Amino acid sequence: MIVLALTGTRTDLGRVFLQRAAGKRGIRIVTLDALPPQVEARNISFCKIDLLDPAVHFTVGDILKKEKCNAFAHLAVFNTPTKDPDISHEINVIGTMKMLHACRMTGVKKFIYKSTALVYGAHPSNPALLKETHPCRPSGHSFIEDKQEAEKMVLNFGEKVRDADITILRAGFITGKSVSTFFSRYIHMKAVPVAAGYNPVIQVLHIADAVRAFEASISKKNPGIVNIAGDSPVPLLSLTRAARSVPVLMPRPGAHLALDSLWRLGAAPFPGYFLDYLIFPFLLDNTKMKKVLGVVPKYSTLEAVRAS
Amino acid sequence: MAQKKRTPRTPRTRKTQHATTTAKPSSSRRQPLAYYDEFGFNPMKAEELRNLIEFLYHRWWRVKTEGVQHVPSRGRVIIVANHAGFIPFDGLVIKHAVEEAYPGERPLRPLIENPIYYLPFIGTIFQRLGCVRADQENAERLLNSDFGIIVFPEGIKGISKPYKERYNLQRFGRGGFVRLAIKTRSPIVPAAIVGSEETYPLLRTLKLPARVLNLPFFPVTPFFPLFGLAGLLPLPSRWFVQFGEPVDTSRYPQNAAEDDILVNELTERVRSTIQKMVYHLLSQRRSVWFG
Repeated sequence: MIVLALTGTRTDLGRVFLQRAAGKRGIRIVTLDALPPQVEARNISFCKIDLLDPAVHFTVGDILKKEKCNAFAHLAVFNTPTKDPDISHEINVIGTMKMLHACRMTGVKKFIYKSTALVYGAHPSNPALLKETHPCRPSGHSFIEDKQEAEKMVLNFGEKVRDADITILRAGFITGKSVSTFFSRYIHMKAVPVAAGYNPVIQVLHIADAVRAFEASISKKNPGIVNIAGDSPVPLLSLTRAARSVPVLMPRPGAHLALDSLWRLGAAPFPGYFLDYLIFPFLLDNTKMKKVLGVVPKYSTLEAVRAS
Repeated sequence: MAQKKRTPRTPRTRKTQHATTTAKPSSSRRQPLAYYDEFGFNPMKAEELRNLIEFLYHRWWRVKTEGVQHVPSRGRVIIVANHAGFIPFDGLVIKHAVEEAYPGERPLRPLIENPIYYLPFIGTIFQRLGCVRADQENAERLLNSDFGIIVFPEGIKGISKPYKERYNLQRFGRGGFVRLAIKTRSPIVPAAIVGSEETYPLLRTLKLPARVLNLPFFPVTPFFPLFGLAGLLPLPSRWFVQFGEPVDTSRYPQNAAEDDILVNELTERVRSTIQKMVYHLLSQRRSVWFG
């Protein structure tokens, strides 16, 4: 019997996972969040926590002990920068540290952390396919540096704790129905700012496949770092067409500026520097996801965008 | 020219088409040719541009090839050639020459330098035609899946050399292609191209516009930038391509890739072979335009 402590029940991954896990045998889920989950089932319970509370690891530790949890999945993280960088730092770095701390105090050895493939960095020198072993180069962006720091903490947990069983899910672009990841919000913008002349192939994963990968990481033993990404990449402009949105081709600095200002106004899902991920090679090698987690995406990139 | 083909894609008309007949665009996408590989190669786009390439190859440059039989008909191979023309078509010409000799069974990928790969629009077209960003990891991936690759070790130095230094091979980098060949046990086929230098006679390069446009160099030819974008049309010089005897690397142990002296020696041997072939082709050529 798996007793899974889960944070971030209102994130896209957490929400869809709970919908699928509701009523399933062999798993009991203790959700840790500020608000109760939107799914009700007999195998799902709720404990209120506040990630920003300086003593949250004691609260969480008490819950882990009381509920006899044997696995922890940490999904309560920001996947795009917040306007106030301090908040995303507190949640992404300090929050993750406290959760790891609570696990160490109570002897929970299985830890699943949802990271992002953005940690590889967008560089002109990226190879066509990024493997999990490729060095991470956050290139001075504090949000991405924070993401990498949190990953390092999880890896450190894996080294220090005996028989530790860790998973770091490096998720690429994800879409899906009623999902609002930064990529799905971008591709469904009324006018999508695109750097003119650049049309790299990109891969998109459907949320259902992402949840299947997450579920597999709960049952598999010590998967380590795994890229979570879709199959059959297609060019960016084919995706805007599939999403029936209008691409606005602008010279690269112009598109950068447009996204930056729209982001400040709250109309774009990410700041300008994210555009580099849609200019330079940024495909993830998903061989490990297929071989180790045993998850082959059911949706191709184009189908994932059409189904969103 | 090819640039015009894909840019103004008028999304609005497409959209209305989508709304009325949804079946049409999706069924055309289901064709196997609509597939993109991880390097952005798309057989459908390549097929669309095939006529253009064939026109350039047979009518415009009237390419004459020699020694294609030195390129193995299957399996991994590294074709090493001299580089010229600030928009380098030489990779595509070699690819086409070999593909005509072995129709439909000899997949080749030219490797292109970052500044060309990231040129807006032009870089994308090169990608769709099968060009790959020159990178050790990309090259290894291709060779290990038994593709052939075409490399230009002169790099940017090769395509930015002035007209008066044409056909003088520049230095061959750090011998990365030799290490690659030893590591992956691929034969090296040297190739010489004559005619490519005259497609864009480079009078000089300018620094300031290069810095403004973020390019490695800004070319000045008799027609560019004087005639604007029309000046980017390649001139119809006659091209000659010669393939030399392959250099077998399978007899070296794999750790020989770390042997700097051996790598240097092999690099220099390939370079001088190509230089000799270039001089040989030049001595046979009577006219730049009519061959």
